[in-house]
Amino acid sequence: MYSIVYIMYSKLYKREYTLKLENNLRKFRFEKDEISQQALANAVGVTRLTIHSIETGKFNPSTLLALKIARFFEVNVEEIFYLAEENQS
Amino acid sequence: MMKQKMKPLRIVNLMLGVISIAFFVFDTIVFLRLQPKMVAFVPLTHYEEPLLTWIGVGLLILLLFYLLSILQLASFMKQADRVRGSDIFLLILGVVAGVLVFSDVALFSDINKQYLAGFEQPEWSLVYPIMGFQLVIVLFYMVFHLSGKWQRKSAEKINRDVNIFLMVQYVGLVCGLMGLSIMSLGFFFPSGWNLVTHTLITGAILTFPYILSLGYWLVTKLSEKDRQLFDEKQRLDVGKSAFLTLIIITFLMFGVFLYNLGHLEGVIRMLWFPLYLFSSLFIFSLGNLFFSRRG
Repeated sequence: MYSIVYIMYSKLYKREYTLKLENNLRKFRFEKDEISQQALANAVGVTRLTIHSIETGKFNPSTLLALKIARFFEVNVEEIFYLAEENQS
Repeated sequence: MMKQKMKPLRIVNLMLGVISIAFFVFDTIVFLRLQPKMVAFVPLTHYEEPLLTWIGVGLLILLLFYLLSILQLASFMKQADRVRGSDIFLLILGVVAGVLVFSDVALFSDINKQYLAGFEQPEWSLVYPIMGFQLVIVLFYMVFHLSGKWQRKSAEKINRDVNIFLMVQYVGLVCGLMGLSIMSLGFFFPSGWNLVTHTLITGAILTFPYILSLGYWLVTKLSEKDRQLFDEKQRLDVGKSAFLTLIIITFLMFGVFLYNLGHLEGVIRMLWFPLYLFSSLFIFSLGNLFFSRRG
């Protein structure tokens, strides 16, 4: 019984630990008249490199920036940003 | 095809470039005439002495040409879609060539002093290679000024700059590396090291391009609508880079301290600050570039 609880706990712990933030930003950008990274950056007040880094998953935006991006695309923030397991693409 | 309108800065640069090339020809003729006389300690005529003043004027024009060309390149890079390696390479060459104008002044001053004191002038061997390098850079820059490449601008509006930020880091990298290389010479030639000439003046000259580019970046930031120095990713990158710099510099300076423990009154008393300054500049700029490019 103890082993089962331990395994379940490990699995849960591991799962929680490997969650990462992913996004559909590129998809949304192309769906919205294929706007450029620069145009989106101008709209939300960051640099083009920051948008590029978010799209490639190398930088997690702040809550404020995520909300600004969602407002720009007129969708809920969860539609653009979501949690995924580390090994998922 | 639409003809491009020439902007004032480009016209000024073209004029300064032509004058600089003319001065290179003038300098070569003067040096070929003066060098044999000065090496043999033959007195200069009344007509020859003022020529040295004109060489000084030529150097001032050359420095102005480099500064304004770098300014034009920077404003072109600011509007570019991305920072290209070739533009960075040209920028670095321009910074090095501009810094070398100060070494020209130092060389000519040393040559003149040694000639007047009756000493040999081994510095002559450095004059031609340095001037040759500077002429090549002037010619390179003139090609770009003539082609109008640095005048073209991207159609897309940029609210928040990133290219000038990256450019400042490249300039910091070059200045830091040059400063470290030159200041390290103090350990190899401690007896000839001079606090005013080598530490203070050379240090100031080598930080000058970085201060200028930093000033340009600040002006760019102040002209932006929200006037924020960094966006959230840049702030994170700068923070990471500053932390990395702190760790590495602490170990590096501790190593320098230990290495000089027995002779802290030696040349290290003139070198510790420039070593600290240029190492910080180099590591901080490198860190910023690494973290900016990585993400």
